[in-house]
Amino acid sequence: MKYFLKTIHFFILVFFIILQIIFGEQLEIYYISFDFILVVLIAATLKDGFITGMIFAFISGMILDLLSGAVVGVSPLIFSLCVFIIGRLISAGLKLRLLSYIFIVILTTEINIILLNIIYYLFNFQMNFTSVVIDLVTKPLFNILLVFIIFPLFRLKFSGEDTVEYQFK
Amino acid sequence: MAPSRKSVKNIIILAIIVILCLIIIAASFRDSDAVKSLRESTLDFFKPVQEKLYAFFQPLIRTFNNIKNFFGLSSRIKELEQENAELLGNYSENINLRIENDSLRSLLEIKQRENYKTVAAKVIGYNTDKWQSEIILNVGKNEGVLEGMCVINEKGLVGMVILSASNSCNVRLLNDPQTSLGARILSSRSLGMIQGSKNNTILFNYISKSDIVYTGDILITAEFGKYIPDEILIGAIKKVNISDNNPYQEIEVETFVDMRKIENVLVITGW
Repeated sequence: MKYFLKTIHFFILVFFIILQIIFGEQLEIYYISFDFILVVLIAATLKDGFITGMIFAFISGMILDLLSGAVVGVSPLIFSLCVFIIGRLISAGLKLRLLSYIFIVILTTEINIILLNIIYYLFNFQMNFTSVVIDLVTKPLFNILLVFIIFPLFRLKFSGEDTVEYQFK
Repeated sequence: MAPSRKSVKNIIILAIIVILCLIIIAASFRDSDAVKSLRESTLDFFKPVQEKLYAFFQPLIRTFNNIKNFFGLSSRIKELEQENAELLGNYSENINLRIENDSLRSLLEIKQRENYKTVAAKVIGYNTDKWQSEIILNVGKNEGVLEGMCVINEKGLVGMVILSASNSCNVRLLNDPQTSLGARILSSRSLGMIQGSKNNTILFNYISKSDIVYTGDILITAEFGKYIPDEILIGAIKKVNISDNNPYQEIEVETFVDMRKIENVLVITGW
């Protein structure tokens, strides 16, 4: 049953990777920038544990980079770091409830944006500071909205402490 | 003791993944064949699902676009009426010019330009961020689409194929910062280089200050491309700036194609 659920979660992740590629650009016309993959990864890590989260992060990052034509390897690196941070937060005693989810989403989104920009800047790509600041402000807010859509798919409860078999606990 | 052992284990897992990612990044920068074939296989593998999902969500995307267009509808009608009036004015003149052109061609025995050989394609994915601007099409090597071929729609040049898998391909759009393409100003025939930029705007570079450039001048592709035919419409000059510390004019171009609303395109496979 455990592996069956993990497989289902993996398919949900793949679905959202494709959705990100289909919708990402279309929604940016309205200055809406969601990061479906990151939110799914957070949910998967919280539900299925650190190692599964790491594997999902690596695979989803690779698929995204390979499909999108970006520098391959950057997304898995950043997603894995985000999952590692989530793991550290949970092992530090963060309870699984709505406020914690929001905190995790904000933190990982900010880290994701900053790391991505730093890596691309180091690889000699030009950086637009205004758009980075806009991303830092807007993206976490939109990702918080996604929590209410994606987390129920992973059967993560919003009220009280969730009693999932989290491997850090 | 147990938590610290678990923590060390997690750090080791992270370290392995980081090293693996760094190796992959290095391979990607070196344009390794393994990465390229992996890209092609991934594109082919996800194409059916991507195509189906794109078709499924297409009405929703169109609804979003329609809502956005609705607010600018009245000003757009005025613009189109004005444009229509101008085009009607030019229509009779163009017919005369065409007749004159045909007779001169027959006199000089110049062969009439033939139509391009094209493959119709649908967009099944977008990838646009600060560093890149690309689309994924549902055609690939099996349909005769090769890397370097150009992609057009009814309004003009869209971009170039940069990766062709068996049944799908990646297209770099004109506004991608890595785009670099020879182009001419239609009226003066001045030759320059089209380049995308980080702000998703198009720049027309290497036009000396002595060349006269007007806002509204039309840009077309130059004749030097192996896979890109000449005289394909690119866009119109939007802004011209001359600064003291730049030997060339700084020219901004507005493409005829709205890069955010591409749905159906043609890949030119020969001419």
